[in-house]
Amino acid sequence: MDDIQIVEMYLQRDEAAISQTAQQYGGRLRQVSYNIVDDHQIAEECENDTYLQAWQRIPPHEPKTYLYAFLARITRHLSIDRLRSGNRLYRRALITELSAELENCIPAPDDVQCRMEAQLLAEIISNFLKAQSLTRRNIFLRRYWYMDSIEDIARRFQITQSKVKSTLFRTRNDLRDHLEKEGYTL
Amino acid sequence: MRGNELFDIMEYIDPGLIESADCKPRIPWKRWAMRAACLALALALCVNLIVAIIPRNSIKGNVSMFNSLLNPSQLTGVQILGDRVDMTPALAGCANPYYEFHTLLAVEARVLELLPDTYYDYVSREHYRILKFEVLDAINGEGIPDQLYMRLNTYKSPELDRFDSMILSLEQKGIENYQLYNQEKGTIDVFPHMFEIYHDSSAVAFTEGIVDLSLWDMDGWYVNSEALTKMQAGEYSDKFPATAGSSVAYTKKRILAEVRDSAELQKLKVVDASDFHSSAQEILAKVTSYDEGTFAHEVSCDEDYKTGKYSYYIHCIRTINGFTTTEEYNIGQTGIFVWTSPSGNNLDNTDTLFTRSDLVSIVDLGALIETLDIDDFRMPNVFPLTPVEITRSGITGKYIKRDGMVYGVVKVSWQFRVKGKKGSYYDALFLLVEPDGSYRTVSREKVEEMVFSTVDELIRDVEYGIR
Repeated sequence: MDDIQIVEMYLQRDEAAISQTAQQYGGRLRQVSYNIVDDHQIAEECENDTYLQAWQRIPPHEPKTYLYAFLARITRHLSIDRLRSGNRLYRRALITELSAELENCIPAPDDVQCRMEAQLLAEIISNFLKAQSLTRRNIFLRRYWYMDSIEDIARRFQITQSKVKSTLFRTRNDLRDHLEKEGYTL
Repeated sequence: MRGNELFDIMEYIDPGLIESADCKPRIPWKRWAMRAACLALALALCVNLIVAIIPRNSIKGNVSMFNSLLNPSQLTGVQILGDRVDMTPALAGCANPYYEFHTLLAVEARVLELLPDTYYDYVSREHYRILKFEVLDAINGEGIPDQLYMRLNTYKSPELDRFDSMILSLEQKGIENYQLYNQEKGTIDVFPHMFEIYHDSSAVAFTEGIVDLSLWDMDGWYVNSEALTKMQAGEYSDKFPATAGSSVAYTKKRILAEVRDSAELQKLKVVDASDFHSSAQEILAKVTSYDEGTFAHEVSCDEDYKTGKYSYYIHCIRTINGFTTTEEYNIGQTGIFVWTSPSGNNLDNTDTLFTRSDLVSIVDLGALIETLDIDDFRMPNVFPLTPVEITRSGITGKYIKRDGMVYGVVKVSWQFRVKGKKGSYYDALFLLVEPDGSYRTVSREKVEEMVFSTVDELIRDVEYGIR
């Protein structure tokens, strides 16, 4: 069953939509969550909560062409929330670490007057990433969206860990330059 | 805005990009073949060229040049500690429940021999055992030899001769004259075509013609119990060509069905020297101009998804006084064989490359390390209130070039256990050695800023060092 049919089932409030979603994407969603929370039980709970939220959000959303990304975004959000509200210090440290890495992309110090809308900033980052090579873009996203470890990324792309680190380093720097060049002060 | 807010904003990235990043990594056969070919040729050429072109001690001053007969025990101030960290227990705990057989070059083969020595690859910076296989059936790929060598990370059990045969999906790592450092003998050993299992789970073992799941009980084989249970139950049937009870014939049939559906898989072949893409030759012409003291290059190729043009990433490892440099540069291609980069030069990032004058005047890191006593350094213990037991320690070094200056970075490392906690912990402090030989302690952040690839390297880097 393709995404359009599954979304149609949601729109028609057919509860089988959830089982179809689980069949189609359950494993990948659980993996997204597991990458973040490092706990099978919590990952499974996040997966189930994702289905519930998808049920609540479709409609009004109609992610016919991006169902997986739509679901994965919910899963990621729920998983990070679980980490932040929980007491798993080790995993929370991962978020702190990734946040600190991303902070290198911010061209100017904190200034509430200059804040941009999240959606707009995300669009700028998306456009920046689209201009990158496929590998570079995916390495960046695997690290900061899927929260993969450097080791996993290296294995996934069959490159050395050094190359992963240097690619991330350069991409972060380029993103900072890009934001600066575009005149956006965060 | 802070980093955590930016981290949250990542959530709103274009869904198309998110989806694409979760697809199987696309390693088109051309790119893959070119990469293997480039790497192999670069290694072959560079090592041979160093021997052929650069006479020993051709550079005056205090530089003792590594030649192709790599023997760290002969180097100034360096001795090999010998033992290695066994990663097996850690791997078992961190394995993700991801299990997939990814078809590339596919063979049915059985082990003929496990070579007795352990090898180190300076490019991947990993340790390997080498297995020699007899190919019983070339399932996919042209030009597969009757016997092939496969490298296997040392943290995986190499006792694969207990199985009657295996079906393996292989990636080619090198062509003729593939070279690895023999840790026991201190020499460079040369192999013909070298292969590696593409993914940790791209292997199926058989006993009496039926899948033998005991492969996954062996040390270091990347699968956890959950994945194994699911595989046995057939839940991974879309990702894996065999389940419990599958026969060799059935497994081959599944693989061949996948090959039938993929034009890219059908094109796969074992690469040899005659297959070089002409642009790889262009790169090598660039590379060899920097080959003084360089013994390893990793050349990888990336296709710009918009323009369809290639860009190349070149990672050089050069050894001076027994310590490696990391030199990375890029070549961007905007036209056929016209090499330009954003900075307008053929090469980008060349400021990391060492020049001949750098080599002549470089500080002797080995001699400096010889004067250091690790007991004079205090481990910056992150568990100040808990007793720790230091299990290993060592000092290693690296040369880097930034802003036209060559520095040494000395890393003092400790591996330790913490009472009441499982596993090993690592910690390190860093010394920055100025071009005049003076040194000072610097923060991890400073080192990271200067050389991003040094910081997180594991304790295995301590193998070159002194206690």
